[in-house]
Amino acid sequence: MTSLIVGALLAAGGAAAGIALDRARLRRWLRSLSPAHEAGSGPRRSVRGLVEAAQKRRDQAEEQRLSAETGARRLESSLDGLQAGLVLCDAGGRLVTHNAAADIFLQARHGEALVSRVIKDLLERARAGERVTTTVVLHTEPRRSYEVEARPVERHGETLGAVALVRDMTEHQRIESVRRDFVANVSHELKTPIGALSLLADSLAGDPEPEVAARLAGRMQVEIQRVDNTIDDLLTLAMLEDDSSRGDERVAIDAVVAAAIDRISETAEQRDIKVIVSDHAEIEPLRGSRLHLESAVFNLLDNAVKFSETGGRVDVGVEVVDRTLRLSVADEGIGIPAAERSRIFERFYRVDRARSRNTGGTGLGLSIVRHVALNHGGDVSVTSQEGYGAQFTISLPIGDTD
Amino acid sequence: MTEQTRKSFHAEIDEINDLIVQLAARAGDAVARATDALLRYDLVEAQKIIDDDEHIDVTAIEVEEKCQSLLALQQPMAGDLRQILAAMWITAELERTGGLACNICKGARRMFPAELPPRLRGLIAEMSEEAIRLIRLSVDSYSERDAGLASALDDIDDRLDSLHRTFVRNLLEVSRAKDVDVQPSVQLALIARYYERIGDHAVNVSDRVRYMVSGVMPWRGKISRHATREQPVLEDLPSLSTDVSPDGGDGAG
Repeated sequence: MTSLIVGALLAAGGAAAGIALDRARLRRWLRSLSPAHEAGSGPRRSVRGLVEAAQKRRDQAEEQRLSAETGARRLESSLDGLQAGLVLCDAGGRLVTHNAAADIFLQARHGEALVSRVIKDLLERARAGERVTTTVVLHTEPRRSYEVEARPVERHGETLGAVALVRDMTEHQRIESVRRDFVANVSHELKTPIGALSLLADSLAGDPEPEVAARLAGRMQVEIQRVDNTIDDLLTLAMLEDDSSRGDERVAIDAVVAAAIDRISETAEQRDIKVIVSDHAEIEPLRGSRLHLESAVFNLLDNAVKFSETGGRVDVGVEVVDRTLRLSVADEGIGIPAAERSRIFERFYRVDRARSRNTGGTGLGLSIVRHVALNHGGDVSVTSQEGYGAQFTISLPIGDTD
Repeated sequence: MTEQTRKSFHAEIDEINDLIVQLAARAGDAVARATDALLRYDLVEAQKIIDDDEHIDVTAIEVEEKCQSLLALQQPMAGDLRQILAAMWITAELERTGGLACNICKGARRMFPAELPPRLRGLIAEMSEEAIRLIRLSVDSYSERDAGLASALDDIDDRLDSLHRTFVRNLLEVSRAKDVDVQPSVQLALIARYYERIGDHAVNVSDRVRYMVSGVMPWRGKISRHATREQPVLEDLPSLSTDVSPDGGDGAG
């Protein structure tokens, strides 16, 4: 009897295979042969039950494998979506997996190879049960700073391996240092003249000789002027940040340049510095605020003259490339160190604080230039070779965009 | 069994490659840090760089020992042998590069607190960038086994050499104008020389890469060229009358 059923099963199986070699269909067919509530009793069914049980186990294993596979794949692709690099190793220290972001470290050939070394070292320590965090700073260009964190992976008190996370802290640290320096610099810029005023006032109160008093008063006026300039520039910046202040005049750029040069000419002449404007074709007017553009150009000229040697020259270039106006101011002064170039547009940022106190200025000029450029839909950039000079270029889109 | 041995041999070679890449990364980083310390007059950082050089030395010894044991235990032939020999030589070059970064730091310490004239600062920054670029290119040629890139490195190094000459010329100018004292002048001349040497070490690395890939020995040609020279050639001596700046001179300092 049983052999009959087996034979029937085999025959039916063969037939089914003939119809379709689809295993899933075969399984469904087998299941339909024996509904679940019927299975499990009687000698006849026990053989069928055996076959079915084996089949079921295989089905379950297959399903588990499939779901584990899709689960792993899903996990993997979500790890790849992470910005942080992630590296996982097993209890023996072998790397099990890593996400896409970790590729740049594990396959690094230059600076990032150092991060990969740190990852491996920290994983090693994490496997021993430690939780460790380290910062790695790469000094070669482009400078980067990474935070590597490693911890053991444990379950029920047993260490299964270790996981390392690598986060790029470059931007975070840049913002942090901008914020920190801003607070330090703003208090420096505002408090230095106030401190000087307080001392000068003290001396005046001591009833000095008339000529000494006159000198003290003169010094006080210089310091007051300094605070006044700083406050003016701060107000200008605040105004520039207010979007509604964006002008909508038609501005002839030649007139702007001429007016700015006119303002700087006296200072330039005093130090025998020539300001030369390049020849250029007529440029159509652009939309914006004449006052702001003039103050931007003036600030650039002011810097150029300030940092030029006596008898030097400042070149102003005006040209249009691809509907973009490029207005450049180049000097032959001391230039700007490479490391500082990205920071000079920050408020109150000074390359050399000791020197800038002599040259005057508020430390806000370039911030103003940048804001004016941004408000007009453009930007400002700098190139420099230290010791040979610097060139600032304001790029502004030309024509009505409405 | 033999397959097992071969596998572990190549795994060992991979490890050596990884270590050399790390060594180069460390050496390049040390050069960049040394330049920062020099230009920022940061003696604390300078000391740290000198201390950190130990990591480079340790890694270099690690590579050398791995190479030694591979040579002794596996007795590799042909390409495998060249690979290991090249790795040993390249390690020595990178270790020297790290040493030169320390020398720059020591120079910075000796010339403190003299201030650097802006033009010399600019040239130092450029030499440093160029030297680091050469290190990177030499490692690229090593990792990719790119003999073509390796043989181009000698020419690419010309730019660093010419920067070095420009630097010396400018240094003579400013020290004649008494903008820099004798002691810092001497240190600056040495420091410039260190950058130039770092470039030379990168070229040496690329020579070893060419040997590793194709078996040619570029250094042989250099030696025979050297032998034909009876006297050291003085063509490199800077002439003071030559105009230095590309955009016309304005009083330096």
